[in-house]
Amino acid sequence: MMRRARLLRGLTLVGAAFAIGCTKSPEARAREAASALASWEATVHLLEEQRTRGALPEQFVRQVRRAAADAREEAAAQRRAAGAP
Amino acid sequence: MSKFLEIALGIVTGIGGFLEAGSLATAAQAGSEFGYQLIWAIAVGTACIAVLVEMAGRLAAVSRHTLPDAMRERFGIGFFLIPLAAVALVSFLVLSSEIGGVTLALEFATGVSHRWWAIPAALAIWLLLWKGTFGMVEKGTSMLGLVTLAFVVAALKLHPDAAGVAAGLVPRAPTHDGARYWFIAVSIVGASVSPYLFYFYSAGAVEDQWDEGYLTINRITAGVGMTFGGTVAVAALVCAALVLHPAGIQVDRYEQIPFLLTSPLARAGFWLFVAALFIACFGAALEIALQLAYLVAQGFGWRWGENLRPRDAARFSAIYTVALPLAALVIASGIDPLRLTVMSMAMTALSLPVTVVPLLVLMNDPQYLDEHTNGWVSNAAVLAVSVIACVVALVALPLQVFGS
Repeated sequence: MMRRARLLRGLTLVGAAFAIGCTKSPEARAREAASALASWEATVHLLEEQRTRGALPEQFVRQVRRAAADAREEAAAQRRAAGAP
Repeated sequence: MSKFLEIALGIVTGIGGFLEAGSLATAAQAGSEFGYQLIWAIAVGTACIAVLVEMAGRLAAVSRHTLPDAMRERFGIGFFLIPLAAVALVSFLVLSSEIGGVTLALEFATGVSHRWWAIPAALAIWLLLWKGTFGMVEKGTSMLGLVTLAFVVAALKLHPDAAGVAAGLVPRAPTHDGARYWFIAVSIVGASVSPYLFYFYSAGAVEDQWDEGYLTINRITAGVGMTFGGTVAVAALVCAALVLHPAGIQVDRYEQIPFLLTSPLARAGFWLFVAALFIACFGAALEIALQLAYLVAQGFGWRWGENLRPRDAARFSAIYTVALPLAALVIASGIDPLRLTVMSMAMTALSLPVTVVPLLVLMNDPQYLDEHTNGWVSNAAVLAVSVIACVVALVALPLQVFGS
């Protein structure tokens, strides 16, 4: 019983230390958000280019635009939360 | 059936059945973020699954036991519950991911949100399992799955640099973002070495009444079929490396993946992508739901068989009848299908030692395999990949979730 309790306590401590050590810094979160924003800008650029070529059906174009808008909003909120301008 | 035809069908099954939501999503992410650098992970995963599938087929042909049946008999029910729980959990997550892939294909085709398609898709899968036979599930979906060869055509049309692709076969340290690199690498291995593949294969071999005369067919279909299947996954990675990587696009959502085919194949590429995603995920969902039922029914010694009428194997049929709507509900709840897919692949990698080590013990037991036990090379290679993938997943998974 004693040994099991000690093992459980040890595992909890290791888990807590790992979780604290692994928490994202605000800079890392801001960097991630900026990279997601740039990626979605590029996605919309490619989308418009292929739409002009007639390679995509209109309803799919609308879906990607919607997804891009959602993702950009999410990334912007993430940047604000991380304290980036 | 002639041996030549059986081998051909087995190879077609390997090609048409290889690509599914996990392998497509992880290949697209790898190519978009790291170019050709992670091709080696697909090669390692493919070699590993080819060896595991061959083992599962050999066990079935020589001992006439399916994998869960042999595990329960050899280790006892107490131990068997551990791999049972691990395989059931990851299979359920992967089943949800595949249903997510089917629903996204339907969303791309119709414009109706994928969440609305989750229950109808699960119902269609259930209906096919309820009414269909094993041959229909296995061969039918694999034949249709040949549409995934569109990725190979697209990759060739993009004129990849052969030397660059070959260099990607050699594992290298990442040039940037190490945690992300290793997370995607283990997700690729998890997607390739999904336990449902070799559990399903062993059940199929028993359903098809294999004996020792099938050992050569087993070896060829496992080796050649999986190698060709892995080539389709490499082709998807190459497309992502040539279309998305130079544009600075990293795959965060499924909506970005159709560009892999629309760039080289224009509008035909879009519809080929929709068909490939739908068929590959639908086929995988059929196989995983069936494998879940096989796993539990064989493990507990219940009556089982896809060729039996549902009323003659009631508990077996009840398992997929319950699993499918539950898995569909995960998608209908609004969870991001891509995140679910990639996370379930990493979880699969994490669970590998639990699912693979008991198989290795069985494969070295002459009571089951007579003179057909494993050689040390396959033992060492599979054990090494499983343990390394698990350790890397253990480190990369929290780093990916919480940050580095």
